[in-house]
Amino acid sequence: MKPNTQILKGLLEGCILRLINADETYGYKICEDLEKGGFNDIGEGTVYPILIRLEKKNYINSTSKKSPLGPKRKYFSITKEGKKYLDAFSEEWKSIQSAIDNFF
Amino acid sequence: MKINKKSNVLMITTIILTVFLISTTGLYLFKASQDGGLSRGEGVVAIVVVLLALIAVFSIVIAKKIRARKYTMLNKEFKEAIDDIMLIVGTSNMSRINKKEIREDLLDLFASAVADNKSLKDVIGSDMEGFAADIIEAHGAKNGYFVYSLSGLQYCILYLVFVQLYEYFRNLGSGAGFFDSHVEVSTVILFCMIAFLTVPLMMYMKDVALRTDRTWLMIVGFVVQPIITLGVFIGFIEMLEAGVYSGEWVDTVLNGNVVIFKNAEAVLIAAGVLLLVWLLKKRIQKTKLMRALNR
Repeated sequence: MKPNTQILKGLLEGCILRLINADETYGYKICEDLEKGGFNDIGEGTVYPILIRLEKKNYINSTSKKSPLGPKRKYFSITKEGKKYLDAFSEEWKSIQSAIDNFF
Repeated sequence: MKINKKSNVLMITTIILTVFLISTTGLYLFKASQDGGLSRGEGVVAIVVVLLALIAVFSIVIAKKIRARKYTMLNKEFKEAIDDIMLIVGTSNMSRINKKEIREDLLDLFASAVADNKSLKDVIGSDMEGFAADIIEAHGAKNGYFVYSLSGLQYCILYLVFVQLYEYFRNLGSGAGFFDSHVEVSTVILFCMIAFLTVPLMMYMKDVALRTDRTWLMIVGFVVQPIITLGVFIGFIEMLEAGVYSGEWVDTVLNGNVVIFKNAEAVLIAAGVLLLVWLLKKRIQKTKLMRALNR
């Protein structure tokens, strides 16, 4: 059974912010890092709208730079509001995880 | 997911509409010349309308070819996908800058995928319409029929300005100024039908057609529906002329003239309404964006 899409998108927001917080990065690289981290079925089609939402919420900033392949590439960095949200997300995840561990 | 069929259907329906417009203008010019000659103003306006229609069609074709040349790092599958996704994104009320940004983002994304030998399905899955809809929703830029109706109000005002301008140029030399130019009541009714019914329905059907992959709906919206609207209008006028209805209003519709913009204040009021509608559309977009972000 496929995991609930809305729950997954909420979790992905936190994971993506964590990756951006670690270093300035871009969309395609974020997908590769998510795949390495165990999110095997997450394509760029899922990540791209999440990046738009995070930018609209002012959790990340973007700058356009030329990519080695030619087209302009957006590089994302985290904002102060993004760091606050990430800290809150991290705390909430720890508390949910320890509650769920009691059942599974 | 029918790659590129959407772009081709849209181009074909645009060409059909342009041919229809040029034929109607040609018929009008022919009839006017038979009835007693064409004024210089009428001739100029007719030529301008035909030229604008032709420029619109050539622009769509040339723009597509220019874009195709920019996508040299993409293969055919991804080139066609960008065009189709941007067609769907084009149905939203996103700004031009945002749409351009999305195109550049997709170009970079797809170029990286091609470099890694990935397929389109690997990148965005099998639901291209859903991917485009997610982008539009993330921007809070989804249009509804109400927004199209607001656009209809804007078009109505602009059409009425155009019609009065046309009458002014048609009667150039007679001494009548712009604020004295009369417009036939039947013409006002026709343009209001186009503005409030035909154009919003065209835009709404195009939106639904692209989002749900029902390209036949685009043909209905762009070709069948305008023909039906025009047919209903012509039928209505024919019925009035045949005496099916009676009353003062019949004579007003058939033979009446009206000055829409009587003075500069009327033009200012119209400009004010255009601005208010634009602000309302922006407000609706902002509300939708806040709802999308808080989901």
